[in-house]
Amino acid sequence: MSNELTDYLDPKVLAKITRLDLQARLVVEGFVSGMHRSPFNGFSVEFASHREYVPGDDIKHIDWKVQAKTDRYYIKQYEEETNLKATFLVDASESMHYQGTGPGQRLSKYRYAAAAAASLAFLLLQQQDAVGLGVFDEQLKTYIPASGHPNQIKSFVHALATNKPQAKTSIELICHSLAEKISRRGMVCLVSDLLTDMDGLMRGLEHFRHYGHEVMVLHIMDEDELTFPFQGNTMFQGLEDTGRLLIEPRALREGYLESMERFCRDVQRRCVSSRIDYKRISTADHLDAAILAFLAARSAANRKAGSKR
Amino acid sequence: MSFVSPMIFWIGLGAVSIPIIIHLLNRRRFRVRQWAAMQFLLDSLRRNRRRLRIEELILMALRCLALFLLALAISRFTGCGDHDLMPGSDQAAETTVFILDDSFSMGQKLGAPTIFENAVNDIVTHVERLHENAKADQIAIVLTSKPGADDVFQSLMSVGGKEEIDRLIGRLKTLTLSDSPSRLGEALITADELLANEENPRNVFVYSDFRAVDLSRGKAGIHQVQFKALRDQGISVVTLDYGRPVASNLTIEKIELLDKWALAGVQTHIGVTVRNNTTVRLKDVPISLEAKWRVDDKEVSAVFPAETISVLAGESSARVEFKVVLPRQGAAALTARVPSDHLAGDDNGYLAIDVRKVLRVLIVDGHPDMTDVTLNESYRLALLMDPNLNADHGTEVTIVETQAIGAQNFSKYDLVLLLDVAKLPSELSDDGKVIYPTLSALEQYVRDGGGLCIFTGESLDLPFYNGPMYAEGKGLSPLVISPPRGDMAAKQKYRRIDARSISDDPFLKTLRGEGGAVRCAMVRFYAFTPSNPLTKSAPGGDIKPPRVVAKFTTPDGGDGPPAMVVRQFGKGTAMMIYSTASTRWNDWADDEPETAYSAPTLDIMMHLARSQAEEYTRRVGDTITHTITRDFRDATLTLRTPNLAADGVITLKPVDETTDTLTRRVVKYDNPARGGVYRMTLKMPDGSLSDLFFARNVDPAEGDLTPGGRAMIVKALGSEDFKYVSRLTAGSAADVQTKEQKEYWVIFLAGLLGLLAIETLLAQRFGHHTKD
Repeated sequence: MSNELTDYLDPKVLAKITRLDLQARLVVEGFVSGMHRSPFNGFSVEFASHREYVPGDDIKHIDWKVQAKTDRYYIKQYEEETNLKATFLVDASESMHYQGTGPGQRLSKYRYAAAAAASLAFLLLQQQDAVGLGVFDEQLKTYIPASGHPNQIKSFVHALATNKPQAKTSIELICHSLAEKISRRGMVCLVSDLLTDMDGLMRGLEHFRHYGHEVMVLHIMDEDELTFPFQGNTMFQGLEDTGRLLIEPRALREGYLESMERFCRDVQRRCVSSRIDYKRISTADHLDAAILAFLAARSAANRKAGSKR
Repeated sequence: MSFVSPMIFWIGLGAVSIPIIIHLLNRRRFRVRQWAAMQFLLDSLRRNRRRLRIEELILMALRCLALFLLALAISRFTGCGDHDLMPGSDQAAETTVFILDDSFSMGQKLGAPTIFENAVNDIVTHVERLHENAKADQIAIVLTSKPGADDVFQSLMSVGGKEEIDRLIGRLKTLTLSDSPSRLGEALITADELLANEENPRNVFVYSDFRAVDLSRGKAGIHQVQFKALRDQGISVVTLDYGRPVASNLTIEKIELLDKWALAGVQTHIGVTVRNNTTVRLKDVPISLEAKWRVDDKEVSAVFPAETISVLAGESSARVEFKVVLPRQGAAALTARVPSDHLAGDDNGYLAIDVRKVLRVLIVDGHPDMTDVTLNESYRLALLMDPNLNADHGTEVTIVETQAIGAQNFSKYDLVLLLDVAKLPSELSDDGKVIYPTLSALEQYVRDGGGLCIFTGESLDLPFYNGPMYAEGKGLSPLVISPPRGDMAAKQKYRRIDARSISDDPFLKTLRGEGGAVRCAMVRFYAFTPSNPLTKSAPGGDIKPPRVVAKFTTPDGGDGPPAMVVRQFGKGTAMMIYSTASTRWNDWADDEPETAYSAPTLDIMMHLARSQAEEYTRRVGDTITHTITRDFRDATLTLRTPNLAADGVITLKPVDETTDTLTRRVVKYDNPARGGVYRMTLKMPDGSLSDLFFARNVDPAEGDLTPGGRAMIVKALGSEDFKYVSRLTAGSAADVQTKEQKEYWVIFLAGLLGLLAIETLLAQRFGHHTKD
């Protein structure tokens, strides 16, 4: 189990990303505690204890009664500080098995996706949020409901490690079934190469959006898929039974990159129009840098949204 | 379309398929890669399929074209420009010399006509065109077989006159090939002389097969010097090359009499050497042999069984030996033949020989009337060569006394023996000097190939032998001699032939005792004529220094005096034996050690006797010379050349050739330019006829038809500053007009580089090459 943790949770990555937080930009169901606003006003949580105010704490949490008695500032602490439930959907289809050939030891897309999901889950757990996991290919292979228990990360990582990419992708159906499973609104993060039917994908994601979930898409692509650097006659054998093709890669490179770029743009456009966060990540990127960039972009977007409100 | 190296072009043309083959092979060589994003690849392929195919085709075509250009450049395409080479194409009047190669090799067949006929047709076409566009043009025609001849062809004539041109063309059409080699260098000299003073634009057209052997032989540099002289004068030179490699050509390289004489009824050996001029190995090449005589003014022939060369490798020669019995005596012409091929003329070889009934020997006996006839000098020798004195042993011996020698016609004999002859007759000349006409005749006889053997004895007139006979080392007596020495009366003391001193000449084999013969070392020489081997001889010309081939022993075992001396004297051989031919000074001729006498003596006599191997058979062009003997002094002489019609008989006029001491009547024919058998007929006033044959064979090098091509012409002329037209195939002479030989390899190379640049650019543009 500890090996699995180190496989998917790189201390360097964690050290960097814990400096930031993962904020839900949408109003999620739960308490207004911690960093997440609750849509249910008047719902109380159980008091736990007081602690002394330190600069930076929101003054609205100061217990003025205690201040009046003791002339000191204390903050009320509650049993549970969050109500965010984040569910990570990790694509374990055969196409995620692809591992690039470039310089350095690159991870396969699946390993990279799993590491990214685990890192973000760790971050959320650190924030006292609950995380859940769905690993799927053409069916949902593993589902761990969201929980904020500290041991949740172990279950999370174990589930990622025990699943191997082998079958086709079918995101739409998975999304539909999970959307019905997850009762409370929360955050859904899809980590996939998105090599599937795009309309179905969007329908699935919009299903989550329909139930008020905040949806994020981490589009994991191998660097080879983004640059197509091959030379010499090559027989490309499609993963997920997509046929095979003997070509001179240099001759098709331009057209391929054009198609790929068009696809990525299309995905991004449709995500944006559905208010879904989209981030394309190459397996050649350092994971910490990629997550940091993603979190920074979300923070910026949150600030922007906050200022508008 | 022509090339300097056509083979390279054809190889290059084949190499054009290499890009296609590589393309096909590459389709079978690929890496396999698992790939996730197939949908984008398939999408790209669907959208670009047609473009990719077109790009591939464009690149492949460019690569094929690049190889094609490379082939054209390396094979040195000499293509065709649009310059009109035909005579008369210029607006101004021209002066043109046509050099026509009428050498033997031009007789090779190109289909039905020979390439010579094609060349003549081309000249006729060119002359007619000049005539049609006449602008005061002048022409001359030079034949390479006789470039310097004073001929109407070789004078400049105007092409304006219809009659003159018709006459010229008429003569051109009746031209026949000579059997002589090409003399292109001399023909260029003649052209140079003809054009030297002309002011019009001047051209020289050379119509030849330009064989490699012709271009590489001859005087070193003569072609280059003459070509440079022409170009320095601004004379344009156009070469029309009719040469081509042939599939088969056999040549009778040599036909020869392997024996010294041909005797009727006796087995005679005839050697025939055949050369295979191609690289193809031949098997079972049949060679036939036929002999012809003239009998009563009619032709009689004998055909001998054919011989076969079982294997004749390419570019090599092989000899077969015919063992034939010639049935008749008299002049005979032998013809050897190989199967007909591309060059028919050299398929026959000719040999003219005088088939004799017997070998004729003249013995001049210094002591013919001895009481004991066995002591006659000639007794033993005559008995040895003609035992029954009826010529039934193949030798006819005529014995004369010394006084009768003056009346002898030596040329009738094959061997003359002087046995202890005191001296030869002398006369007083008109200016009062003593002359020796018989000695002169004898010298001429030996010089012409006759054999002479002189035995000494006590009768020798030493002043004569050491005087005119020695002639300061240039005479028939090879060494200065001294008075006889020895115990000729008591016959007690003697010397022998020193076995160690006998030379290793083949004809002295039996004298040395080889082959089972009794060694001559057993013979006792009681007396001998001393001679001085240190005598300075002053030979010159065709007279070689004397050679001591045997010596007498000395009592002290030292170096003895010469016993036998031979000297090459012109074509013949003179030998002197310093003892008697009879038993008066030795026991050599005695009965006892007979085998020590007969075999060595016969060997020596046969060696000395006149050979007839090459007397009547020579090369084409070699003058036919015949000395008229006294018997035929009044005869009328006619000569029939091989290819002349019956009425084309040439009458020959004998002339007297006078040397210091001798006048000979000879007849000569200077122009035996045709290969074959020449028949000389001597008709006596009484109507009787006597025939002689002379054979003239074509130079066997003419059979080597390997074409030199443009490269060798350039080498021979030392320049590329001439126009070259290949006339490989028979066709219209009009073909010549638009072919200018100019090499375009620089253009093709530039094109190739440009093409490669375009290919690289396009390949990068198409994504087939990386840009870095």
